[in-house]
Amino acid sequence: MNIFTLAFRNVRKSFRDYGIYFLTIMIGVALFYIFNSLESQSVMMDLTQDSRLALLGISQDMNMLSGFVAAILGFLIVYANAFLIRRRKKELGIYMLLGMKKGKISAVLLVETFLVGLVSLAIGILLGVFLSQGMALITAKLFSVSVSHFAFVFSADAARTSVLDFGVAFVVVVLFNVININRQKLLNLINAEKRTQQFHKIPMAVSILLFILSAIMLGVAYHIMLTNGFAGFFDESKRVMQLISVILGVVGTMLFFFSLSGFLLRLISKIKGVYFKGLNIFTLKQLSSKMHTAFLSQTFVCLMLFLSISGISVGNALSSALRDNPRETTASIGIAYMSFYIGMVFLLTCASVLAITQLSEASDNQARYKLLGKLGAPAKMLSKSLFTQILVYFLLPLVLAIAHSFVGIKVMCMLIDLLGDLNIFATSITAGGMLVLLYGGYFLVTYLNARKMIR
Amino acid sequence: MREILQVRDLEKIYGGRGSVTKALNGISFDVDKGEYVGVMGASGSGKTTLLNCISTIDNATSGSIHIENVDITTLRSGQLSDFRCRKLGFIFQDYNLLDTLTAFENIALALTIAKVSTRDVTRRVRVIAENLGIADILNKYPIQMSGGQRQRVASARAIVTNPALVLADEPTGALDSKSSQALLESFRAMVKELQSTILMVTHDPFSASYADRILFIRDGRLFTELIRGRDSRRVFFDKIMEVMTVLGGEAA
Repeated sequence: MNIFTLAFRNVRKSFRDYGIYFLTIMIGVALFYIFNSLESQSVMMDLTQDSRLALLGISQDMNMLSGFVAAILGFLIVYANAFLIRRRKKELGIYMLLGMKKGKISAVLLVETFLVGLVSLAIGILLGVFLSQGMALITAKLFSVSVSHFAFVFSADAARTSVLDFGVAFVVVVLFNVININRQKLLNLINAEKRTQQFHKIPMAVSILLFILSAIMLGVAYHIMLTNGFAGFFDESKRVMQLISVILGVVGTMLFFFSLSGFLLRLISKIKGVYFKGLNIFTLKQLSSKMHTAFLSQTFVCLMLFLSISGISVGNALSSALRDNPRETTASIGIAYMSFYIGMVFLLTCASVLAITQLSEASDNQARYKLLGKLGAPAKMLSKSLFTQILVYFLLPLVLAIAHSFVGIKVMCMLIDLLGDLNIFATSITAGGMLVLLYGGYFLVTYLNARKMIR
Repeated sequence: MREILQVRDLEKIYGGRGSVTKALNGISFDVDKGEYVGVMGASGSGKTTLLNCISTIDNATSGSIHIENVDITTLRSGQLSDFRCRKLGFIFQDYNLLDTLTAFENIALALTIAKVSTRDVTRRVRVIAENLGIADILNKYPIQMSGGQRQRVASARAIVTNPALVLADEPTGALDSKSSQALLESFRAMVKELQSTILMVTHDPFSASYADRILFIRDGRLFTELIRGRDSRRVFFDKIMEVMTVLGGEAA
């Protein structure tokens, strides 16, 4: 069988595994395209010379931001790819066992990456082109101009930038795969599924202590922020305090997730009525056995969510405050777009990181679910356990992120209040809506995919 | 004695059009309550397929399997999982304990899946553990136990729900001879003291010699049957070896 047929078959066969990968690249590319095509969208509007210049400025800012965004999305693609490769270790081992050269295996993976990349890029750009028409109408409304000659705009520039930037990400993926394949030993690949994990149990007292410590750290961080917060922007001497509060916040968040599992689990396992019900023993142990290793990604997701929520709501609020002042229209639109762009990218990042870790988790645990099925646990019970596990992973960082955002938004309000009236809660609802749509959507896709895996 | 298991004219056909394999070719037998029955046969004789059909993990092509007078071949998948957790206990070659759970939790899980009242869980686990001599390792994780201990935890999990029938698939396959012997002794104790009924598939004549009766399977049919009666284990073992010789060299 030649490389192309093999690669083609693999993609078709593992379409489900590629699902999240497809989805993430698609949404990423679409966002990327929309914000890079702002300038081309202006052709259909009756803009004054000034407004046109302003829009040009905004779109240049967006293009600059796009470098940063491309780096984040590139990281995501590499991360998602690593998950796919891990899941296919056994299959790759069999290729090697059958005598396929490592070079040829890399070639197969290259073709697969290319295929998946091509399709998701194309669909992403297509999606971007359609959504950017809507975006043009919003832009026109923000500039309070009419759309006189609505036309279907395709920005070749934006498309080219998208293809180029994501192309680089795919090259990194291919390099990563080649290195990864060359480092693998056949035995490890064949035995990939047979690893048993060792337990590192943290004593109850220690996890309670750490949990209390994390609560204190977060409390102090919030307090410093709320009392000193905005002074730090103007007052050099208070900047140290602000830095301390940020560090306390980050470390406190990390400790919170690190200690929570041990603490919460022991607590629940004391309530026999809950613990001895259905698969609860299994579910709770699943959660706690992974939390010790998952706390880093939980921290990462929580902080990203925090930046995303507070970014979008503060950005929106600031922008609407500025909009009342005709001279500040450009700044207002620029801020709104920028915060939305970055916020969405952060949101996309944490949602897909969670999705990928949870899917790889579910795939690692297939044997356990199969055993539970043999022991007589009905499919519904298994799905419920899986649902609870994934929900906890999605919900925990969100809850803490909302608490963080509450403080963050409050501090930012104190700062912005100097500039004008603010209606932060109205705009927080916008952020909330986006969150529910994207984050909730990822949660659902993850759960449904994972459920198919364990059946 | 009351019949727990009735297998009648069981057939299992794999494949379709062109290449058809009859894994089970009209096999019939009964198992009574409190009986300890061994199933022997060469690789490919159909003994694993037989076990899978009785386990309700695989569907038979034709024939019937009655367990406590319920024909399991007519149950739908929702009823099957319910039936599995109430009426059947499983012991696998590779223990199949959940490595994230302690011995206690592994055993308790069988009860909680069967929706046993939460008040009874602890007591019932302790009683069974006491019976199988694993009371002192209940707080250990599988990785901290020996193979023999793991298999006894798995056995406790299989019988804690008081199933009608315990199905053991090569339970001593991964154990050294000393642990095997200890496990087989506890199987005898399960039958004698707890009135369990055990159907055990095995390759090993030594393990089989602990049973009350052996079914020999060849080409998907019952080849012959050996009943221990009043024989000592030693004598029964020799008889098993004789049948295996007749069955053909690698019959094991």
